[in-house]
Amino acid sequence: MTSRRHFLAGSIAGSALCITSSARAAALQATSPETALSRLVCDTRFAQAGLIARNLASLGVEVFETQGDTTAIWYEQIAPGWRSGIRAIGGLTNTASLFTFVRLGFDAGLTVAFHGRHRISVDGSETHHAVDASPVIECQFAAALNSGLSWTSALQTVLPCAASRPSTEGVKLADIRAPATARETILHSWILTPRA
Amino acid sequence: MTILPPGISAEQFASAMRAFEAAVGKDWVLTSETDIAGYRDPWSMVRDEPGELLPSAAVAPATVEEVQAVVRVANQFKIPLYAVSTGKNYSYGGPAPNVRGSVIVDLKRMKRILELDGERNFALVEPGVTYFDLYNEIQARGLKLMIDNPDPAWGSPSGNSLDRGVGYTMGPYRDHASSACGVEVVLASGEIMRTGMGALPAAKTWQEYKHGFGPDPTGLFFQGNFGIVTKIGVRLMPLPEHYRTGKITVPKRSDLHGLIKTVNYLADLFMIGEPVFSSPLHPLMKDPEFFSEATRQGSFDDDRLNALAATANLPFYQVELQFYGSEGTTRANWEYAKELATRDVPGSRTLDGVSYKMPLTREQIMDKDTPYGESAIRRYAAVATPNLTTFDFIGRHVDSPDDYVHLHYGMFTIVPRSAESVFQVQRAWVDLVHEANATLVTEQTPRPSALTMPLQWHQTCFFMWAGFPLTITERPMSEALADMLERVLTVNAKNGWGEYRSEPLLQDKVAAHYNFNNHALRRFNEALKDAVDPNGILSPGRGGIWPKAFRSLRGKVGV
Repeated sequence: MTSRRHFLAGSIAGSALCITSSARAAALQATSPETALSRLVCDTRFAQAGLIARNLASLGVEVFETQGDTTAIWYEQIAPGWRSGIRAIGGLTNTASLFTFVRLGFDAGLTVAFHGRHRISVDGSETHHAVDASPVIECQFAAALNSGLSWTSALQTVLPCAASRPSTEGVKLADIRAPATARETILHSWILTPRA
Repeated sequence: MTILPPGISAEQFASAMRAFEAAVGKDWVLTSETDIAGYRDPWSMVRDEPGELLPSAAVAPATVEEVQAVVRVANQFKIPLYAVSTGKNYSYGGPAPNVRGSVIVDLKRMKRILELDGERNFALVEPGVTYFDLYNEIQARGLKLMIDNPDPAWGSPSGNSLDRGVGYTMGPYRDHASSACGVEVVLASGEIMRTGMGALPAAKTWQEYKHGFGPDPTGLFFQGNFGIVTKIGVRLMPLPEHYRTGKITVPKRSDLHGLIKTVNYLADLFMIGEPVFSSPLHPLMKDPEFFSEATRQGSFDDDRLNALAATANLPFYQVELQFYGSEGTTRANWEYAKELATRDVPGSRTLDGVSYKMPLTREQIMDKDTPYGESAIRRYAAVATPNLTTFDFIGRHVDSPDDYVHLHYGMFTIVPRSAESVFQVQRAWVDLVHEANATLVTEQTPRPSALTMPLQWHQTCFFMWAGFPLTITERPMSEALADMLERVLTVNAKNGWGEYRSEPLLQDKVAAHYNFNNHALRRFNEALKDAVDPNGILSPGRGGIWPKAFRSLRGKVGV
């Protein structure tokens, strides 16, 4: 019997799915950072995203590269992979991909557990970060930055941690529409985890 | 924050939720804030304000019987429902209801493809079947059929048809309401009804003859609130063997008369798919002089605009034509189009486009470089390949591609298929922007100008569209947007132009202008509504139709 939390997972896979474990159980099974974040969508148009993705890939994270169109990633690669249960998924993308993944993820039983907006100047010399996540994760990110780590390293550190926690409330995407100026671009980092 | 339906106490609501749980199962009644968040309009003009059109809960029935049970519970507790198939048409409010506190009836779990006929060319689907689902099933069965998907394709044939959405192939198919053939609905009473030949139990023609016998109420369920559609027939275009494009350009503004006349002729002979009108002059909008001329208040100086186009060595307008058929028939039709253009459109030039065997490869679909330069055709849609690429460009700021601007920032206005009408709309909208104070408007390219062009999504009319875009990072901008759109509606109505569709927040405003003979149409619809839905539980306010129980909310949506 298809569970409540996966009802659009059925639609995106195009056939009835038989998922036996609950979302809560699936999320709770993901107890370590290494196993919690197994999949990451990376927009390779962002150099910093590519850097983080390569490092996470070396830790065993499966990386899906995109340059905008995420259709095939979702419908052909990620959704069919959830036949055995939904898992957290991360992304380093532009606004458009964040938007589509959040909506598709919601229907699959996921919610936003982490959302970072990284304003990057065109020459890469200046960055500004705003992170919405649980207080623990926000503190981890701030501490990592304060410790002298580069922001890409700090992000690389906290993303798996954010994926390891079942989300009880989710993060509001209040600033999804935050405008960038002509001299900067915005990279979104995000983690979707099973709704508890 | 708990949101309750109008006039319902917390105790009554809790009782209703228990009754819904009994109807569909506890797992399928969604009430948590996290769950409800998925049913918000992400671009609501009243986001986070007291009037935001948030639901109180959502229920997700899996069968027609469960839909019936949900309707009965709603009647018992007098709770307004708002049915969505996938709820993903975010340009029109997504799943947000007309009445704050409504219970969303999420039909995504109803996703059976009940019939799919590759010889008689139709499908019968439940509302949760998406365009992806239908496409995949066609491929899996190896049928020579095409879907006709809107962009993006995560929506459903049911929802898009019922909202009178469009696609991008041949005229009869891209008008989704017209290509629908037969519906099954759960009425407010909980009774099931089938329209057209579906009313004849043994009929095998439900998806082949839409009218049945006697008055056909099917239209009441399109942009309406008279029932919850649980099955819909969809006519499907056979997969053609070949796809071809060609372009006709004209050098001067006034040449649009002949160009549109020619395209109308070809379209109504069903020789072409969607004609895509555009202007190659958009890049010149960055030039202050051209911008000033193309957005000049009062009147355009056509001679000056034509001269600027000539200096840039660019045509003023163009249309891209699309042909479906065999290699030979598409070639012959394009040759005929060129002949007509040469004969009837002085100064026109014709350029051969692409010529592909169907189905196209992914590389062919995504290749935007045609022999005549980048195409305005969204080819994945033209050849009906479902995707989500829309979100990579729609609503994006031209100078800041990582910024989304407001997706509710424009109207699709129905106007006659003539150059005269196009020019009238350009004039009215340019003046409107000036009068409204141009500081409200960003410099996004599609702002009203002499370059604003029609869309021929429906076979028999034009839609005119322009962005009246405002970022909504600051709340006052949202209010400014609402003000701007109301100005557009007023100007449009004054000129006899109406909107074909809108999000719930604006439906009363749009409907208010369809007021011939003291709102005779609305009075008729509401008399019917009160008769068949006495408690007014089905999507009150949708399409501007308010049942007696909620009529006091007319004009107060979002307030």
